[in-house]
Amino acid sequence: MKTVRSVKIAEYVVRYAVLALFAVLFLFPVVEMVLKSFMSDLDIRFGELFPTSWGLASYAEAIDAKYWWWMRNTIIIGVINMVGITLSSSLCAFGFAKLRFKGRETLFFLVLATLMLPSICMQIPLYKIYYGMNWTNTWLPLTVPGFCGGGALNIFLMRQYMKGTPDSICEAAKVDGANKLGIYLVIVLPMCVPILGYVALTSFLGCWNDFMTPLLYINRESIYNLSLGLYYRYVNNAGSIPPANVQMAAATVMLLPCIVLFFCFQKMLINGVTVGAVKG
Amino acid sequence: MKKFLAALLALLMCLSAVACTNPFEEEEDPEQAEAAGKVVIKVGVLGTTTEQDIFSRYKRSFEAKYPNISLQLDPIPGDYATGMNNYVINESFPDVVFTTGDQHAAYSSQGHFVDLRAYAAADDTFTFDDIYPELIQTTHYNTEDEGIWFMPRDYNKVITFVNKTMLSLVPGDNGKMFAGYGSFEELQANWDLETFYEVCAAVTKKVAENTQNPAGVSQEEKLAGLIKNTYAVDARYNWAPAYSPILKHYGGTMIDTSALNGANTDYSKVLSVDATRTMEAYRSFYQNLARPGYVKQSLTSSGVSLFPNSQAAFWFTTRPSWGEVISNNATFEVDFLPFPYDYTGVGCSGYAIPKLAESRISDNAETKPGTSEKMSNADYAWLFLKYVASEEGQNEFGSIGMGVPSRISLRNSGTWTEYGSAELNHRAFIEEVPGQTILSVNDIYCFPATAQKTVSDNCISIMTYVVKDGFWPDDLTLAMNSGNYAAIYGKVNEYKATMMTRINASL
Amino acid sequence: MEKLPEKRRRKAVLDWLSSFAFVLPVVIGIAVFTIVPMVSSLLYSFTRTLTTVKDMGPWVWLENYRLIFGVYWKQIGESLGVTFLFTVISLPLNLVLSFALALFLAKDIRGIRAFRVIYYLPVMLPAVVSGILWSSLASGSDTSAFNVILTHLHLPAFSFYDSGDTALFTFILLGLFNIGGSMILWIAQIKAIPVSMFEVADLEGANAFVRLVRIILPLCTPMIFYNLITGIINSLQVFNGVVTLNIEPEGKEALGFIVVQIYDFYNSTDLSMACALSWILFLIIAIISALTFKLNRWVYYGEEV
Repeated sequence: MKTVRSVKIAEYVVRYAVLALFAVLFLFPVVEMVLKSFMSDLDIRFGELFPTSWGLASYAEAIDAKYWWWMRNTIIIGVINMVGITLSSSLCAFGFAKLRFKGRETLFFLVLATLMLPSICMQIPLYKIYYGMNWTNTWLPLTVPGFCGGGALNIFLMRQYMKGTPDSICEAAKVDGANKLGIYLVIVLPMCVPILGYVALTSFLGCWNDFMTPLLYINRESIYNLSLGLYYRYVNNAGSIPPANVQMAAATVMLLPCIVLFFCFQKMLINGVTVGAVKG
Repeated sequence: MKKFLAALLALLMCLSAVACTNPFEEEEDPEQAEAAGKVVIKVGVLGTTTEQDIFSRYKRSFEAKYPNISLQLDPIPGDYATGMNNYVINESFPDVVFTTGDQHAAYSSQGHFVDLRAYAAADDTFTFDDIYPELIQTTHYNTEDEGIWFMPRDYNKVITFVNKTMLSLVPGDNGKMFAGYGSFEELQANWDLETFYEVCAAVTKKVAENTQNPAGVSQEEKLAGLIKNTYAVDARYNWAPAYSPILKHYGGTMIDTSALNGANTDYSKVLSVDATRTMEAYRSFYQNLARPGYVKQSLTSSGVSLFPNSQAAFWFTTRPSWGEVISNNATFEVDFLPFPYDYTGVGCSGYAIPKLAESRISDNAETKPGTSEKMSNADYAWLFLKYVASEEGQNEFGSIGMGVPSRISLRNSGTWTEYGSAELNHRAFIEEVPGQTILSVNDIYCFPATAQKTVSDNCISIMTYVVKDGFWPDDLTLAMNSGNYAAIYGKVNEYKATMMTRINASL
Repeated sequence: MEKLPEKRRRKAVLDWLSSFAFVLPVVIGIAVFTIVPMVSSLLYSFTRTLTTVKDMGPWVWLENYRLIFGVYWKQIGESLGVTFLFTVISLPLNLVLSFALALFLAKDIRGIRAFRVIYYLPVMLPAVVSGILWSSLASGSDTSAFNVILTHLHLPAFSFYDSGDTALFTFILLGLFNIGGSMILWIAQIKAIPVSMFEVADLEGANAFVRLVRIILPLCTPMIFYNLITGIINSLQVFNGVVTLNIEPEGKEALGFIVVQIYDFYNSTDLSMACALSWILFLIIAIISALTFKLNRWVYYGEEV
């Protein structure tokens, strides 16, 4: 008995030690980013790993009025997309999961096939289309596509989830005379709250991180999102780029909401990621 | 806990979405301006703070002069070429667009801009005679072209920025500061290439000492940047206006326009990156600047400048870069000296009128004097360009310090000479240095349009290898051939092949 | 077949319409944001169109493709080579390591959730943030964080992103920080394995290795397949991670993946060439995905299928 227990304890110790070791490794970049953001210019020059003197000067320099404004833009775009993507992908998923109509399978296959197209194939010609509609330099290219299906992956995930909900209730409602929209709104949606939450959250985070779309379609500083603002400040800047502590301060503040959201909705996020994949 | 955090985040986000105010210059509604009986002229301006500042200055004073015109900002994003391409694809050029001597050719040669000579000829109140002739040269798109495709705004000669605070702590062999010259004035009086190298050596020596013994470095020296990772000169060798004159000084050139020969041009001759004289120039560049450690041997792909961060004593650059020093809250004193080499580059930025503006006629447009024809937006844009080149406009521009006027008559006067302090050596920006030849750096435009970006990118790439120790033998007195200098020849040939492929495919 | 009464037929049409209305958004989406651009991209690839000229250029048919496989082949072949090399090295490495990590993290012990969050953290980094971060931490200068650590360990400094020889290696290495993404999927799959299977295995005295090879791996094959397909598609299109880096040109050249080349053509005003190249990439991805689907007989889909 005793040996079994000590083996078990040893196993736990090893397990935790390895876990901790890897945790340090995985935390390193983010922790170093935060540490660097508190450093002085001199610390940066000397390549310190830990600040010799802690200061907030870099934050004061990085987080200026423009930064707040870009963050505001990002939040607004994110919320619009959150609504648009959740709504349209759940509508489409309901169509694919619960309704029977001619051409459904072909269409669904087509939707999944779009996942395989390289986005660069579409980006260049899309610019002309947007221009034709007078959409460039507005948020429309960043928001309207969300209302048009909300992305194949989201539709797929929702459809998988909806397929897992019992058909019998829908059938019963149908017998009771409920129409399709009613079934969608009153019966299916409430059962899908976890996946709806997942899609809403990931679409917000996706917008928060989005970089390519604004890079291509927006060139007015006052409507940049945060990614684009930081890109033109710290990566592609024809002038001189501020030192690393300022860069890291800007990056840290941008990362913060992602971490808080992930921490708060961890379970929902992890469950959501796996819905489609495990069941599909 | 989690719910609380999430709620807090949501609250903070809502707050920041509601509470923050737009820090960008509120763009006037064009429709409102139109309704108020004004002619709206859109001006495409680079997204940088400096350019936008300059524009808002112009706007204020120009609109006061022409109350019936409303200038509207149309910002071009960080990358000029992408922004311009977007204008082209969408046929969305504004009525006036910012351009520069080394960037306009891709558009002017394709007929996107109007030739300003026609406007000047029809206007007796304006001639180009008072603009520096070397600037007028940069307004052509190739050596044969005579069109004037944009209005030069500034005269940007490459000169040497000096970190006086740093140099005041660098002793020479005689113990005096300023590398032995004692004062900036003395240094200025003795300024030539030899002096330049001498000061570089002194700075490098001082930095090496301080790197060796970091504990003994005084706070003053630390703040002045005399520590590890400081270099004598931020030579901007990834920027054609700075590296071309130095190569030329050493007898080489990457692009040999004398080999142009009309339709029979052999572009592999024009692209003389691998000519023996150019290879020798690289060697001199390396031997004089890189091997002694005066320049940093690695540069990132986009511009991290050493000088504004107090990491270099000298900086080869032009007047507008002063803005970077200032916006970096630099704590050191800046002054200016001429470029120490036998050649220097000059370029300019300015404003062009896109062809499209000629077809736009505002409802509020007036008729041209003496005719019944209405003025097009291009005619109004011309008024703005004339204003930019006028003494008034040039003084407005000079007052924010980021440029030297393109008018010869303002050579020694005007607001620009008082910016910062009238005591500074502003003359370095305009004075003729005996024995120094001025190059206009726009020779890239002898290549086909779709090859130009590749050529300029790859020329820069070559320069980043030229300064690296690993690509040169220890003994630099060896004869220049691909046997003795296999590593650097290998790199140069590799890049030349890439460039030639693109050139041949573009023909 | 008997003709349906008018009323029933109308009802059937209405029923179809009302069902179709639900998927209408995605139909519009695919038409406007996928099919139209794909087709116009193909058309452009048969012309000689510059971005600096407003109209579609003259038809040159296969000229662009001839250039790609002719004079440009050295450059583009190299770029395809780098892209494949990256895919071939980083994808298996990612799959194996994330799987190993998942095995370790699948067991519910105290505090395991916190560890999962930590391992997932680097995946959360926005593209721009990770670009800024890695260009600084992994530059070749002796003050970059990685080199400072190496110096502390009395190891020589390494050039990381600043040399053409080590940039790809660095890119792959730092890509491993993102294995948390697939790890989460593996964990879910492993935890979905019925406990009874392990109990039976225990009764029969199976050791850990046997359990891994006979139970866990076969039951994870759908996930292997999923990760493989998405992995191939994503790594052949790698772009954001490169374009947001601010490193020495030498390093950036070594990371000249195919989409970077396409963007480069676009930036040098050669729109038609960019379109032709992106169609070639599309075909490559389509062929590889099709092959992978064809060869998926090893995937175990459970008994009910």
